Amino acid sequence: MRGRRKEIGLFLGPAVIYLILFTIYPTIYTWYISFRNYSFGENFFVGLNNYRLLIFSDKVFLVSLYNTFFYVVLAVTVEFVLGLAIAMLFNQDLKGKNTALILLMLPMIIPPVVSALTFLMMYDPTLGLPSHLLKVLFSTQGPCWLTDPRWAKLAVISIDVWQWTPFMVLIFLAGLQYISPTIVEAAKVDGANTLQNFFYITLPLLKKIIIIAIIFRTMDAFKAFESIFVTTRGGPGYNTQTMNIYNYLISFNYLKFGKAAALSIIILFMIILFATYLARFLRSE
Amino acid sequence: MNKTIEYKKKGVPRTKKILSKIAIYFLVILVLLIFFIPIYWILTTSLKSSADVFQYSWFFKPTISNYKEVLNKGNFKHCYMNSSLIAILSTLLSIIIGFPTAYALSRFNIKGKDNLAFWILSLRMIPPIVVALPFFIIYIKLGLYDSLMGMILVYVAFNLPFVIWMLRGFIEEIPKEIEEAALVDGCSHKDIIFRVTLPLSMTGISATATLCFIFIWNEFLFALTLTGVGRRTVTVAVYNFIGFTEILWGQMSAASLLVSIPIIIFGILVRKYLVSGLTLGAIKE
Repeated sequence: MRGRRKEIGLFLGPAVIYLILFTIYPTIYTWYISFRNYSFGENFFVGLNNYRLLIFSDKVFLVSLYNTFFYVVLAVTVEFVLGLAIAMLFNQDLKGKNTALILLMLPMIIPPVVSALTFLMMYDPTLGLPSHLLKVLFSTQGPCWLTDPRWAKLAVISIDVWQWTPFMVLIFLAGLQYISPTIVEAAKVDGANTLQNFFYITLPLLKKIIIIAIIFRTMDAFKAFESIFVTTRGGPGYNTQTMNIYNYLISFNYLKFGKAAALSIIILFMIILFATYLARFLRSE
Repeated sequence: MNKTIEYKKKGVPRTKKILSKIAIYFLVILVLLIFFIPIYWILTTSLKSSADVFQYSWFFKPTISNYKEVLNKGNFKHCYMNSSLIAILSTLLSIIIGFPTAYALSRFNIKGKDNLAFWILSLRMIPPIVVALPFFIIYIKLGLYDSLMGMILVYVAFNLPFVIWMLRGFIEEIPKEIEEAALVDGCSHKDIIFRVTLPLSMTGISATATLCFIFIWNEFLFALTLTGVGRRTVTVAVYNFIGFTEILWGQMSAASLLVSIPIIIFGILVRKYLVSGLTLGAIKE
């Protein structure tokens, strides 16, 4: 028994210790500095003051919170709808399907910084395609997509959509493979039309995969950073500033480490709520 | 599957069938265009001389001067070396630490095994921004800021959960009976792992390692906050093409492509595992 214990320790020990040291410890350290007024030159205990300031008297925090949810909800919804539609379109015998899928895969594997830079160029009013098309087709001057408050949010979200719709497509294609065509055929014989087929057969059979896809996308959309940081840095004003961007700016531009740490803990708290739900769901499956 | 559909559609007029086929291909091509145009844009911009960048003509004299200039900046090559070193070493270390854990989690009878696995999974949900600040402070104190060692340590921590979950899935696919047979034949536990499990999970290990390499190569936030000039990685180098006064679009595009090419090749190689990799094995293709 003793030898077995030693063996288990030998197998699991390194990874567990490593993860505690490099993920749990920094998180606890964040928690610790969130109670302090910590910057270059000053470092003293202030209790819950950082949290109080953030939640009750920082308008930018509330704006960032709103922007984060706006970003996550809109991006994931659009990706889901587009992803399902494109997956249904691709779920048939097509010539050159493999090549098509490789092309479709590119946006999600190239470095996110590169996609963000690409769109910085695409949305440039003098350089990009959308403005060019507007000029040629409707002979109007396109807006400055990334610096116009009316467009910036949507422009930034469209980058996320471009990057991650392919992820949804691939997941749903994998799921659609398992739906036997005979079920669909049988329904057709029974007189179901395409729409009924979709809502009463395809969707229910895909339910589990849809939930998994949405959970993973939501989790990652919460982490979104490059698509905003590279293109707008949160601007114009605070228009595209999400909690991640705000956190970065407080930490590394304003150097208010205590306040940034408090914000980190708030973000973490929200993620934990979500993860608890996720764990419960995955276990029940 | 086709046969049944064609049989059903015998009654449908031929022209209608052809028209719907054309419509489907038209839609497929439209989707592919939307997802590929940004990449095409960056490809052509990288081949344009700085005078041509602002011209929309489809015909221009391609030049490789942008690539030459990017590569002649010693800085970029240096960053390329950094990224390669960091990504390769971190991947190796993640696999070495992760494999025994994955093995124990799939083969040993340990109390609370599932809880441990879910704890490891939950660490993947920590947004990097939450720990970027403590890492920054701790690294400055320990002298790990802007060091090879520091970057490897952080990347191993953030990819171990992924590696463990992926490898665990692959090991579980190997029939237990093979290992038990070897045990009956008198092999020790160590022999079984090195002579049976390890060779049999080589495909899984290579797929996991490739995906791990892609994640680390693409990572931006830690690279941005934890490195200075010495160990700057390619993603930060590309980002730095956004200058204070102007953006060198041609060079930026060339650099973006140079950064993306290895990732595109690796991505195509492991495309079969991409979906299960990004969902930590929750969905298998």
